[in-house]
Amino acid sequence: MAAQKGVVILVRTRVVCYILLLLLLLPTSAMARDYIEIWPQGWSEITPLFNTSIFLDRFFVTHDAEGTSFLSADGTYYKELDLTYRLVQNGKIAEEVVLRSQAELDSAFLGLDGTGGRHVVWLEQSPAGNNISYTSFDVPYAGHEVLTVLATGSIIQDLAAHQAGETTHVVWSQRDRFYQIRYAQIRDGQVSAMETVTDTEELSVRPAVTVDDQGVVHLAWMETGHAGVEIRYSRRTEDGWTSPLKVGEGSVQDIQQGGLIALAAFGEEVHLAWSGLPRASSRLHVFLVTISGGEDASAPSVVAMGSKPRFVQGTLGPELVWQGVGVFGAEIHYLPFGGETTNLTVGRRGAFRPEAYAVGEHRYVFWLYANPDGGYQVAGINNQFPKAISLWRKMGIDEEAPLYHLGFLFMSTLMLAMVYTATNLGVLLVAAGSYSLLQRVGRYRKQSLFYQIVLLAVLTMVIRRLPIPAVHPQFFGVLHHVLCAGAATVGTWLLLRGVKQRGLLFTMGALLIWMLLFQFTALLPQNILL
Amino acid sequence: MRIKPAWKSFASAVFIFLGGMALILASFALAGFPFRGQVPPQLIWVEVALLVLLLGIPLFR
Repeated sequence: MAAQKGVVILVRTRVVCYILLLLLLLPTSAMARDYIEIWPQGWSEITPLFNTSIFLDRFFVTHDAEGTSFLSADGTYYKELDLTYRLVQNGKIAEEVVLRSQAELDSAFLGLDGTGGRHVVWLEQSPAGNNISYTSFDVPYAGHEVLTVLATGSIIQDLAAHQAGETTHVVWSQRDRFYQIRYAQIRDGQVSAMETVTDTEELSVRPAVTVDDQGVVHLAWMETGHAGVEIRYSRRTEDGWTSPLKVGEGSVQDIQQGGLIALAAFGEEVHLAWSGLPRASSRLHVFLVTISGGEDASAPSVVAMGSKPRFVQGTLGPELVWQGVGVFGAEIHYLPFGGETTNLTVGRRGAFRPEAYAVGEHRYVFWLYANPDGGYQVAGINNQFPKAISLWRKMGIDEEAPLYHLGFLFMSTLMLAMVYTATNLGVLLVAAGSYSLLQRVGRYRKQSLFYQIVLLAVLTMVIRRLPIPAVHPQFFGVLHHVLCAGAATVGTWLLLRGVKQRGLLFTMGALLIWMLLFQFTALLPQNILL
Repeated sequence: MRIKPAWKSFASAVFIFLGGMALILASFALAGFPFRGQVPPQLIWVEVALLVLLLGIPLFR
């Protein structure tokens, strides 16, 4: 009778365990989302603004007292694009003007003169010929007239410009047997200068121009030849353009992807950012160079993996935004002056071609999102109105279903930790062998259990660095690494403090427990971001 | 000899794993969610130095 009762209790316990396991596993995997958005702390919600296309290498955004101005080429067919100016005030589009409709546009520029005037230059191509056009207008918009800066039968491309007060400085690449960089000045609605800067037998393309506080015009471009792509720099003096200075190496891959040089002047320094391939890498990285006094260029420094760098307009020092590389595709990264890089995009939606400006301490960053209904959408974020972040979200936990997410995270990380521990078998064996050798020395053998587990942990951490085949979790900073090692060590000690037996079996058990705990805690952020 | 029941050992292990998870999540809440990065070369040397220190303690005690 008693035996029968025991069997019934055992069966009941087992059934309850199965039900508990099912309750834990089924809803967590069914209801928890498969990823969590880690919001950049101190930044606002991402605001979608308007639809546009990706046919131009960049869209323009700039700001003055009237509001935020955008210039973009909208449309779904590259030969029928609308060059559209938008003025956004208080988050709403106050003005929307199509400056040129149904044209094949190559590149465009929008500049503000500081007195309310908007200056737009664009380059359009057609079978009848190619031309560069200019227009200006005020706020509120009351019509515009178009000035033809250049009309030619030869190929022109890659227009870039800079607005310095009332003067618009325009550069482009023009085929004249070879591709040369040309420069023009537009003032008071008239072309006041037209110059050819380069004279080489290679392809001079993708120019960028800026003007410093002294009124000196600085120019950079990509020189492509048999030797590869060179980033070259020159400035305009009273005696003409200075001899081109090679400041770094670009990449054909970047040119094919519509890469441009970002050029900005801060005091006597001119900063250049572009993307190229570092040695021993086939992936585009952002490079940065500083030119002092117009002659001394620093060695190119690699900022990060990515492309399409742009300087934030209106800052006192160089601040960059660029298209970085994330697990789910392109992300937008921001690097403040002297600060650390922040990923401004969240989730799995690829973000492209950032543009940014600053007003005082606040930063406003915009980019393109692929629109699920076709085309692209301009979206923006700022640090003026930071989004309130809940405690759950700070930890990377889904605030809509925190318990489900925690349960799912616990189970999935535990299973993943077992796999990672199994891949570290070689590390464990070497650690166990080394530790067993140490145990032969009486002084080590007689130490307390806590000392022995700490020694085992540190020994394993050092052996992990040796070239032994193993899979390791991604690194998430020193603080996280120290916490993982500490939690694993204390946890192992707590579990084994009652065990009196010592020997190889104990060592292997302690090692397995430590490694499992270490992998579990180390894999948590990686698993949250997956 | 008193042997700890299996369910107690299992519960202790679960609590320790949950404790580790709570510690890591609390660090995210206090210090912000960490970003992926490269292992700094200095960290490896710090680990080696810690090992040497640990190995030295029993010799001078």
